[in-house]
Amino acid sequence: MKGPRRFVRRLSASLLGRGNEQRLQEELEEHLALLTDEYLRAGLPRAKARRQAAIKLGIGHAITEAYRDQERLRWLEDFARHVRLGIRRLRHTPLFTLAVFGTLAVTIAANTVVFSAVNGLLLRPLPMVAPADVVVIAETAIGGRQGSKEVSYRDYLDWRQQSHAFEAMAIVSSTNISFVADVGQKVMRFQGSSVSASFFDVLGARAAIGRTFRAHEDVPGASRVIILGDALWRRQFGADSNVIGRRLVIGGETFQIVGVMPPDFSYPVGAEAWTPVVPALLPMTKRFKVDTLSARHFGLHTVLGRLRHGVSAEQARAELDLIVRRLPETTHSRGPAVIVNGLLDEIYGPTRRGVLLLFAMVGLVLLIACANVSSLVLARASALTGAFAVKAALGGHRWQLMIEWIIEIAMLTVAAGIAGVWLGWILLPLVLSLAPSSMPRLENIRVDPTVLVFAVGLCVLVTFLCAVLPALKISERVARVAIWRERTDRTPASVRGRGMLSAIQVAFAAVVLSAAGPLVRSVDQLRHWPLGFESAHVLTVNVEPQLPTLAEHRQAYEILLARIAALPGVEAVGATLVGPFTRGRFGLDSGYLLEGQRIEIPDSWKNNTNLNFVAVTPGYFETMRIPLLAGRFFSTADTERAQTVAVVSESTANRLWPNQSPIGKRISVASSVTATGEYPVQTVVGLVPDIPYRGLDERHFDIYVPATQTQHRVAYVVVRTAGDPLAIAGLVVGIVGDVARRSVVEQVRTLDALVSDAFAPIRFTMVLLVGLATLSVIVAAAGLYALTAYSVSQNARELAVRLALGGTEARIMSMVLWRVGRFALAGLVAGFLVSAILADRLSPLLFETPPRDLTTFLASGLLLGAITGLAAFSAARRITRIEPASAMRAL
Amino acid sequence: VTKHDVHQGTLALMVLKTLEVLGPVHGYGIARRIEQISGDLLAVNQGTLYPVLLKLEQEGAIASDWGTSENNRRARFYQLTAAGRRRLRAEAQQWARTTALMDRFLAVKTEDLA
Repeated sequence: MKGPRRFVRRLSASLLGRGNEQRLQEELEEHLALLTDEYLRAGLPRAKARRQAAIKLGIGHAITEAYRDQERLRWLEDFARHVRLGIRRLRHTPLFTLAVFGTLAVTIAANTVVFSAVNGLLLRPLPMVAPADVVVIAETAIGGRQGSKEVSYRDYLDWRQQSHAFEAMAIVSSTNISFVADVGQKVMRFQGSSVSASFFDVLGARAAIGRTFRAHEDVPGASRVIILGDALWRRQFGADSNVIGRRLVIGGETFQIVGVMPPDFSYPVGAEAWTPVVPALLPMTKRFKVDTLSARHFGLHTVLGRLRHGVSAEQARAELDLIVRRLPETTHSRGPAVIVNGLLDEIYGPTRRGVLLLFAMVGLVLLIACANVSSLVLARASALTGAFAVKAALGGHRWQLMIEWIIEIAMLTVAAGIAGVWLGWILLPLVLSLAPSSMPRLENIRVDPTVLVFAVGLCVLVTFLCAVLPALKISERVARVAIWRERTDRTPASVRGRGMLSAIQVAFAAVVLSAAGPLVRSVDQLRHWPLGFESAHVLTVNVEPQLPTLAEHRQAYEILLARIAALPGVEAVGATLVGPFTRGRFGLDSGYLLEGQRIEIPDSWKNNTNLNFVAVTPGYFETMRIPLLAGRFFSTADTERAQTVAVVSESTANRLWPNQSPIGKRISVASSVTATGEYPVQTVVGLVPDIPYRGLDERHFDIYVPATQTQHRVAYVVVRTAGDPLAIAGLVVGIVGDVARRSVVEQVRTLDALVSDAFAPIRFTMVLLVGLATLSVIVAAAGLYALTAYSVSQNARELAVRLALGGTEARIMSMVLWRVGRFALAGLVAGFLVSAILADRLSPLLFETPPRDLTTFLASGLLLGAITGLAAFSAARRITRIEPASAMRAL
Repeated sequence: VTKHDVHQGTLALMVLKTLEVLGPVHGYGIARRIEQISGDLLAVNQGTLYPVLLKLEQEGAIASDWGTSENNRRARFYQLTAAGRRRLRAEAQQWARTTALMDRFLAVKTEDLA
C-alpha cells in the first residue's frame, strides 16, 4: 500500500522535475544553526562550534545525493538522460539514422503485411476437428497431363470396406453442383455438393443450427434433405433461425432443410449447400443410362478419409494402391494408384504454399536487414571507440556504457518497428486490392491483435539482433581499450566477424533471388502463353433456361441467339457448354475410343487420356475469333441428323494422331452419348489452337462437338459487339427474360474481365515477388556497400604503406577485391547450395519452369558480385587517390 | 556493526517512536532525541536523517509542515500520521518478537540441549 503511493510521488517528482532540494537546504541550514547553538552553549568559540556542527551533520553533497535518491526515480531520470543523449547523437549522424530507420521500417512493414496473410489465411482455425488428419483421395488418370481422376461410388464402397488406414471415410462430389431452387416465379441458384452422411463426421464439423445428416437419409428412396451454408442462409433466408424444417423446391424435387453450418465452413471450396449423395445419384441412373451406384466408370467424386491415429498419409496411399489394383478394370482409364493430399492443401491449395513461401522470403529479407543494421552499428561503434574509452577511463562502468548504447540503437529499432507496423497497416489494403477475388478467406486478412503481438515480437528480435548483440561486442572492445590506440576492429576476429556479416547478407539475398527468379519466369511464361482467342469486345452471359426437355432448351437458345444477333452493334453470337475461365478449374472430362479401339479390349484404350469436352453452336468460333488452323468450323448444316463431327485442338491432334493431319480422323467421344445410349463416331473436320478453359496454368486436350449432336445443354452465350459489349448487356438479359422467364442469368461479364480475373493471381504473385526481391537486393546492396567500404577504410593505413613502398594500384585493387570478395563468394555459394536443396519445394508453384534455374543463379550471382565488387572498388579507389603520407597520418 | 552503519529500517522505526513520544518536532529535535537514547549511534552524519524522513513522508507515515523553532527561525516540523501510528505498532511488535526469539536463541547453553 505504501509502495505504490510512494512510487507515484517519486514518479511525479521525476516527471515534473519538482524537487524539494530547496526545502532540504533550508532544513539543513536550520539544523546546522541549532547544532552550532548547542556547541556555543557548551562554551566553544564560534568558529570551532561551526566546524564541529558541520562535522556532526555530515557531508552536504552526500546527503543531497541520498535525499535525491529517495525523492525521485533515479533510474527513470538516467533513462531519460540516455534517451536525450541518444537522440542528440542520432541527429548528429542523419545518414546512419535514416539508413537504419528506413531499412528496418520497410522490412518490418513487409513482414507485417505477409504475416497478416499467414494469420488470416492459415492460422485462423477452421470449424473442423484436426483437419490436418483428413486427407483427400482421388484416383489417377493414365497419360493425362492432369493427374487426378474422380472416384465412382462403387469404388468408394470397396475402399471403405477393405481399407484399415482410416477412422472413417466419406465421399463428396468433386465439383460443386449447381442447385436451382424455385423462389416464387423466379429461380435462384447456388453451388452445393452431394456428400455421404459420414462427410460431416469425417471433418468433425457440427451444424450451427439443426443437425448434420443421418445414415438413413443417405440410402435409396430416402426423402431429400439439405443443409445450408452460413452465407446462403443469411442471403436467402435472412438469417432466420426458424429455417429448420422449411422446404425448398430444387429441380422439381422438394428438399427439407435440416441444418445450417457455421460461418467459415466451406468445403468443397465454394459449396453453400450439402445434400446426401445416394438420393442425388439415383436420378442420374435414368439420365445417363448407367447404374450410378454400382458402375465403376461413373465417377463424379473425391473421397475424404480421416487417418487412424499413427497412420501416415503415405501408408494410407500404399494401402489404397493395393486395393485399387485388385479392383476390376473399368471402361474409364483408371491408373493403378491413388493420389492422397492433405485436406488443408486442398482447401488452401497453392495459396498456402505461396503464402508460406512469401513468409519465408520476407523473413529472410528481415534477417538481411538485421545483418545490415548490425554491421552499420558496429562500424558506428568503432568510430566512437575513442569516446567510449574516455568514458571508461573516467569511471563509466562497462555495463553502463553498454546500456547507453543499447538505448540509443533500441530507440531506432523501436521507432522503426512502430513506423513499420503503421506502414504495413497502410499498405495492407493496397496489397489486398491487387489480390484476386477468388483467393479464399481474403476477408480474414487484416491487422488484428495476433498480428500486433507478432510485430512486437519482431521488434524485440530486431532490437536484440541490431542493438544488444553489437553492444555485447562493443563492451568487449571497451574492456580491451586499456591498451590505448589499439584499434580492435582490425584484429583477425573482427575482420572475420564483418566478413561473416557480409557473407550472411549475400547468402540470404541469393536464396531470395534464386526463389524469386523461377517464379517470375514462370509467371512470365504464363503471361505470354497464347490464349487462342480474342477477348476484346466480347460479352459472355451464363444463361440456363429451366426447361424440362432438351428440345425445348435448344429451341429457346435458337430464338435467343437469333434475337441477340439482331441487336444493333452485334457482330457475331454463339453459345457454348463452357467458356474460357467461366467455370473456374472445372470442366467436363470425357473418355473416348479411337478407330480400332474396342471397349471389350482394355489394352486397346488403356492409355487414353481424358478430353476436355466442349459443345458449341456454329457461331462460337467466329465470335471468339478462334483461328481455324485446318479444315472447317461447325455450320448450321451440322444438325442432329447429319454426320456427327468434331473439331479438335492442336494438343489433342498431336496426342491422338502425332505427325498426321487430324482432318478426317474418326473418334468416339463418350460424352456425346445419345439419348438412346449409343456412342456415335465423330469425324474430325477442323483444327483450332489450345484454349486454357480451366485456368491459365491448366492445359487440357480440347474436343468440340456441335451442340446439336450432344445431350449436353449449352449454358453460355457469347456476343461480339462493335463497341462496348456491356452496353448491350441489359438488352441481352431482357431478351432472356422474354424467351425463358424461369432461367438462371448470371456472370454477365466481358471476356476481357474474365481474362483479367484469370491473370489476377499471377499479377498478384508477380507484384509481391518482384517487390520482395527488389527489397532484398536493395537492403543487401546497401549493407554490403557500407560494410565493404568500412572494411577497406580500416585498411587504409596498410594500403597507404603498400602504395608508398611502390605497390601498383592494380595489385592493391585486386588484393582488396579478394579480401572482400572471398566472403561474398562464400556467401553466394552457401546461398545457392541452400536454394538448390530447397528448390523442389517451389515446383508446385511453377508453370513449365524448372525450379533450379541456371539463368537465375547466374544473374543473381552476377548482381550480388557486382555490388560487392563495386563497393570494394570505389572504397579502395578513394584510398589510393589520397596522398599516401596523409592516409598514414590520418589513422 | 559500526555506529555509522545504522540500518535504515531501524532508523525509521526510531524516528517513528520519537515522533510518537515527542509529538511534532523538527529534524534537529529528532536527531537529538535519538542521540540521547542511543548514545552516540547517530553522533556523526545527522544529515542522513533527512532522506529517511522524506521516505517516511512519501510513504504517508509522517507529515510535515513549516513552523517556528526555539530560536524563532523557520523550521520544518514532523508529526506522526494515523498510518504512521499503525505502522509503528506493527513494527514495534515485530521487533519485540525478533529480539525475544534472538534472546532465547542466544541464551541456550549446550547442557539445555541434552
